[in-house]
Amino acid sequence: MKLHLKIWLVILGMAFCGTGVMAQATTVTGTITNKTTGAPLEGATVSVVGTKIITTSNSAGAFTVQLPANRRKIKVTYIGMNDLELTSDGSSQLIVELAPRESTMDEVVVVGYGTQKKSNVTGSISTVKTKELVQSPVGDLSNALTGRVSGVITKQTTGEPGRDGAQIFIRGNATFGAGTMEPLFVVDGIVRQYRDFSQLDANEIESVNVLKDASSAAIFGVKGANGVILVTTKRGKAGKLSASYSFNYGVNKVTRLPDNLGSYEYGVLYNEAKLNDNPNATPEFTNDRLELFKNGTDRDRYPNTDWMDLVLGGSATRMQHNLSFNGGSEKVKYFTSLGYLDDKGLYSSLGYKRYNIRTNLDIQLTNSTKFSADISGRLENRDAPPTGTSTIFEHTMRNPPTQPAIFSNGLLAAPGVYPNPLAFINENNGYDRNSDNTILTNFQITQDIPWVKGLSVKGVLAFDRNFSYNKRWTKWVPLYVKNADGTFSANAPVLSSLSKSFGEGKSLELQGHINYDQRFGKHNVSALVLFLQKESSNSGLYAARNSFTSSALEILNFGPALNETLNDNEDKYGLRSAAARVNYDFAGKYLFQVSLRRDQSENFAPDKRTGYFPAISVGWVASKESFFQEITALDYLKFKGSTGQLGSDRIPSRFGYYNRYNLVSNNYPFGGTLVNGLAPGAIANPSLTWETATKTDIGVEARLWKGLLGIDFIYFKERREDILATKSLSVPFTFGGTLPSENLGIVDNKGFELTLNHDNRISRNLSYYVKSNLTFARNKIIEAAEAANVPDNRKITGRSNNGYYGYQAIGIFKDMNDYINSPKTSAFSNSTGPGDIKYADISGPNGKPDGVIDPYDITYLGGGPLPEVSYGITGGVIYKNFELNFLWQGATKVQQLLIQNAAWAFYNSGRVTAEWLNRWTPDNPDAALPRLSLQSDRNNNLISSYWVKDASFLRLKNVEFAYTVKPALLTKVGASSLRFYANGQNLLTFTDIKNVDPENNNASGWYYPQQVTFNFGVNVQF
Amino acid sequence: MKFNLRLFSLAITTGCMLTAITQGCKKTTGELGTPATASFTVSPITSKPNTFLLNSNSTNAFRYQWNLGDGSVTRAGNATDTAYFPKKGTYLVKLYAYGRGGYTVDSQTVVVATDDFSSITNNPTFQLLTAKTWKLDPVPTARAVIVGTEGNPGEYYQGGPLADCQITDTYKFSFSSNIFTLAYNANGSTFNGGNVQPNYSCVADKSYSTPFTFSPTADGVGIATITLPGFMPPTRFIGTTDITSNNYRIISINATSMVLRAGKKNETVFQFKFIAQ
Repeated sequence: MKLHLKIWLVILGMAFCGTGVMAQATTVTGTITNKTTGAPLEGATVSVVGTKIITTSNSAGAFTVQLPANRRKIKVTYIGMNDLELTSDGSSQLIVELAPRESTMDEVVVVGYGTQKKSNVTGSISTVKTKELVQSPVGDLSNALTGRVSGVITKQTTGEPGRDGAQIFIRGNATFGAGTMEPLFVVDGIVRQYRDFSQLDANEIESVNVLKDASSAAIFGVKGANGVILVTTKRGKAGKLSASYSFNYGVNKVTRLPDNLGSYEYGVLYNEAKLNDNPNATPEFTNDRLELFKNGTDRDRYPNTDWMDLVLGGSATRMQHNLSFNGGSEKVKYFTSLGYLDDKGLYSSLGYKRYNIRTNLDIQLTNSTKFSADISGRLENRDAPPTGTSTIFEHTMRNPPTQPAIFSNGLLAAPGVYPNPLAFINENNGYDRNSDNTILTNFQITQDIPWVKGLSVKGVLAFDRNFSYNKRWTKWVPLYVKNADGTFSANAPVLSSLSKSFGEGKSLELQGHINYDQRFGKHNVSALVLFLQKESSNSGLYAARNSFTSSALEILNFGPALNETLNDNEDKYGLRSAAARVNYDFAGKYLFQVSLRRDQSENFAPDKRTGYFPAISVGWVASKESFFQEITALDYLKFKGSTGQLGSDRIPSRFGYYNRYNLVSNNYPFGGTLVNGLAPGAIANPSLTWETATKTDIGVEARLWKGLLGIDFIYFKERREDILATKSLSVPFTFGGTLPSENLGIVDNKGFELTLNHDNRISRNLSYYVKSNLTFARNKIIEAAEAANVPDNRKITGRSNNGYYGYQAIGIFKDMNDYINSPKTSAFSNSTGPGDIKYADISGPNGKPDGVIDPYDITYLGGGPLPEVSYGITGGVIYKNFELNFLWQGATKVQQLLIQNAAWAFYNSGRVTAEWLNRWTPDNPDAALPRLSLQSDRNNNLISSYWVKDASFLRLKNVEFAYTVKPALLTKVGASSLRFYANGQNLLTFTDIKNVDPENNNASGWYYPQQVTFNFGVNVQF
Repeated sequence: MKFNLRLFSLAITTGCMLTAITQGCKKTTGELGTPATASFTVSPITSKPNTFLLNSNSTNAFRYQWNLGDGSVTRAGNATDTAYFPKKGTYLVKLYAYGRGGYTVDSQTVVVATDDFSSITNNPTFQLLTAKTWKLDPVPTARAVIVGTEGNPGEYYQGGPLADCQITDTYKFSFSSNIFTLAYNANGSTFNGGNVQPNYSCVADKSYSTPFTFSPTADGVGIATITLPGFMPPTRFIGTTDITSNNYRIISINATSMVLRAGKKNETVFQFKFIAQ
């Protein structure tokens, strides 16, 4: 709050200064919009003709410029639009409407290590602009990409502050085992870590480009197989200082909480379950007790605890500030941004704060020399309870309502044999403090070679440093039981424990570029030669002691040395690469691109280290042919295709080409003392190499009826080979050693992407747009080195990667007759009966159904937790100064396996969710769920299709409603633009899955849930 | 058209927002279903002595448990069940009826006017037991008396020839006028066991007559159990005076011979071989 006030003071101060200076000059303000769509144009250049006065428009398209007394002419330019000159008639408010050039295809797209005109792109690239990014009130940038573009499949598996990033899959999953599908993140030409991308402040970003096909990602070679996410940050524009401040304040709530049964219902069902297990048993909860649970007169003894609500039922705030400055002269341009995020957790011991800074500086040293220095950094502070998230939610999901959480006098209760999650999240439980400090630099110098037109060289140096710190202090929280006489007694104290760790990392990347770009008549040639070398190293120290006799000093020295832990780790990475790329087009009509990258990765043996990754793509802009010119409806038509090879060297265990030995601590007695020893690990595989992805794309892009319809369709195909797999059962057990991983696996991944755009302007005041994208990606394992004796129905070969395997449930035994006449599970023949899950008898020892349900009947149950189809629909309406934007996002052909407390009743003596009210009883033979049981190792708890749920969903991912105050009103206070908005994230979720969020990834439901955000914000520009 | 579009979008979004907000607040509580209402009738079955028909007319019930009120545990049963009371008395019979919404209990008082020993008198073991007068097997190699443990009844004493006064002892089990009687006739002299001085010798006649109970079950090896009232050696005993218990299990029986084991399964056991007189 303090910070907030200070910023306001600064802004107010500047506002008054601004008006003071402008008093002598004629001030002209105006707004610049796209004539066709009506959308405001950000970053349009406004210059006063005959002077050096220059400015740019802000995100609302607004600008303010001062005219000297003798000057009236203003020139407005914008990429892809026709230039416009106009004369100020003295009225201070100008409406400038720029007409697009014959198509918007002259827009520049950022590609790997360069830029390209959009019309010339032959690869498959999707772009998300800053306007869309800042529309999403999220802490983690990865969540702002969701649903915006085709080919990007995201899965946000948790909403925990600071850890709520989405998993990003570009066109699905093409590897298995321990291989990763994480794309490569490149910020301003430098490969960075996931968090260097996801923890960026959206206000720093100009655009995010996603490189999906072989030709666009080929320049990244051995790192590019999973696709590339290219981030371009904002840079300074010549003109007067423009300042922008935005403030966001949002409230978060859980998207969906499970509907748990209360004590009374729980007790009644418990009795039923107990008697189902043993018909002669006596009810656990007598009617008298049940009545006390129901009437709630003594909640200390007869509680009705909603654990989920106690831990997660509240709301949390998220506040963001961003202040940025932009401006400069023709020689020196700057962009500076300061960002602050305060993302609170749903309980007070959890919270995340982030400070982002960035300064991008461009200096024109000479007429032919440009220098840029980008320095960015972030401080991340995350406070969490010392108990891990999964433990907290294991018990929050599990605990039954009949146990007390907190007594009426405020004391925390000891809930029987169950841990109390309220103690875990209590601030007296200690803390887990994390701080990560990162500084990233990027220095580039570009020299045009004066004697060869179009030739330039560039040198890049990027030096990064990061420091991390963690301190975890766990303390006893007293839990009480209420005695019969009404007094309370506490549980036995637990001694405190402490761990501390420090880590640091640094990396240095050097790049040399040779760029050539020249036009010979209708022939356009551009070429890039790139040399790259990168070294990085990390080091860390961890120390822990437990059983502190006193909790007064949270310092390691005060703990006993007995059972202390001390760990040290160090690692180093290196990469050396060279790449070349040539683009050629003839009259912008026939497009070619060829590239080759050579990589040396130290993850592999010296003679297996070097790899070459070629790619080629072609395009034909058919609409430029004379015979297409007559079709007036068609503005633009392009066919494109690409093929190439990429690699992925991010393998789980490095140095597999050496025989490895594992350190065994204190295991060998020598002279009465135990000493460390070494044990052999997996044997060496000197021929280990990277995964190779061969990708092919064929696509068509079309624009019709002056932007009324845009179509972008791409068919893609990938075969990934050399995936690491271990040959199982291929050597006798007497072999003794562990077989190494070998490059044996093959996966095919195919699909298509479809994007449809519709922009329309109905009147001067009203325009709207709709954009939709659809991605379909289906993968299939072609080779997985499976043992020959794996039965067909259990083979992963030929099936979807990460698919689910289990029994095929075909309903519930309706009655005794049904039970007697159906095959039964051999392992549970004594405990099954009517009301239990009925499974399909698929096979047997002879490969034929044998009338018995046993592991021979385990089969493939479907494609698993990654959606095959994902889609997004964005749209918006702009009416005068009002703007409404929305994003619907969804996924289908996706499954989620739910087990334990996420699905079963009474699991681990745990809770029951409301859907169990529709359980089987003899008088409800067509129930949705099987009969109740207190046991959880029975027929109904086998992994089966019964618990594999359809996790398809449709979400109102984002809505923004904004009002921009008219510039005329603002000039009086010196501001050029003021925008108020309300937006929200994950506002509505439609799905059939129960109790968890459809994007959840934890089968037991032990996760911090995704959040609904209601956010209000203001953006003011000067 | 223009106006409609605006209004439509606005309506949708406002609607969505409102739904989102309200949906976040509401909490549904499901329906358990109706609790069962327990109710039943008791009627005697005329064809069988001391046997009653328990007929539930409970509503919304799918599971039934009966407690007969005779000291036995509550057990699962059917909606229509039978109860049998061998002894006369007043019993409170309870029905626990379970439905989807929970359970309730109903009870009825049953008055049983007379004892019924027909299940015992019809028992084939009992019939064999009472058909004959029994005596210890006098054949010297028959090992008529052995002492040991449940697992090895001859562990401590493998048996030997009987004393002369033992050979003349007879045991007669009988049932008449609803009374079970065991008559022991020493025929002049009883053999003292280790617990009576002078031990292991033939001395005074300890003939007696006593009631006994018969149960068609046995705890441990055996097919039936005979119990004498109280543990009163050496005045009440079967076989020898130094037996460890008043429980006797019939291990096997036929028309001419019977093996009887004195002592519970965790005690020292005395096993006797009887033949019909």
